[in-house]
Amino acid sequence: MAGDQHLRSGLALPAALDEVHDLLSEVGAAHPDIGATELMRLETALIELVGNIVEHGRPPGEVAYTVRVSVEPEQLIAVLTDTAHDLAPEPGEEMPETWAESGRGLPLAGAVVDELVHQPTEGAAPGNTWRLRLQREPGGG
Amino acid sequence: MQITDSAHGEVTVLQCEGRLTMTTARPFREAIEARITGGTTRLVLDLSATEFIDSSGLGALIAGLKRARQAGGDLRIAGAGTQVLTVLNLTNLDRVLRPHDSVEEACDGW
Repeated sequence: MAGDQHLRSGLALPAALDEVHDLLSEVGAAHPDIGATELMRLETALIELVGNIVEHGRPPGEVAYTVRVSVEPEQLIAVLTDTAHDLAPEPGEEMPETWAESGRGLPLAGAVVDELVHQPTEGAAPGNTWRLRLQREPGGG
Repeated sequence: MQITDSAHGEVTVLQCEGRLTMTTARPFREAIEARITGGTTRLVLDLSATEFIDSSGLGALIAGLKRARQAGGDLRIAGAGTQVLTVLNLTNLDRVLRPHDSVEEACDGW
């Protein structure tokens, strides 16, 4: 398996956001060569996606999530899976108008990473898989 | 998120310490609303100790800005770090929530 991996999993409750923040701190501590900007961008995207599952995933309080972050020499890869019964919205939506108070989560998640791909989880079990890729800057960005 | 008030002339500065995310956006929004309802409509948010913001936090900032302007005041932000500035830029919200480098600069020229 490529790269060093870091993982968090559990129920998609509000405390899951703290777990994601902790995960990125762990990745940064284990790989001081990763640029602070790169970690910040990955953290921003993952917090949006996990927050989305916490807020909208059904049945509420019963959806499980797993985040794996792989550190490779030239890129960071994160894979987020959930067991939500509803199909998540597709990324690629446009940023809402300036005065909107919601609707920026997925567009923001897509904007901070180089690639964000959503797929319904394969097989009979419900759920979603999100793959995020962030190119690493030479020398840490 | 911890909010601490301080007066700078006719402007009230709110130091916002911690993360402004899904779990804290609602009480944050209510805290802003309470100050505006109480007659404090010139607000500067000192974001120098705001570690992280997400789209829920952005929504709370926009709600506060709209509410302050409706009440005849304004809401400005100051001292934001890299993550907050990046998110404001990518969402184009820096057009209406212009980041000020310092609280002193944000308190100037009302």
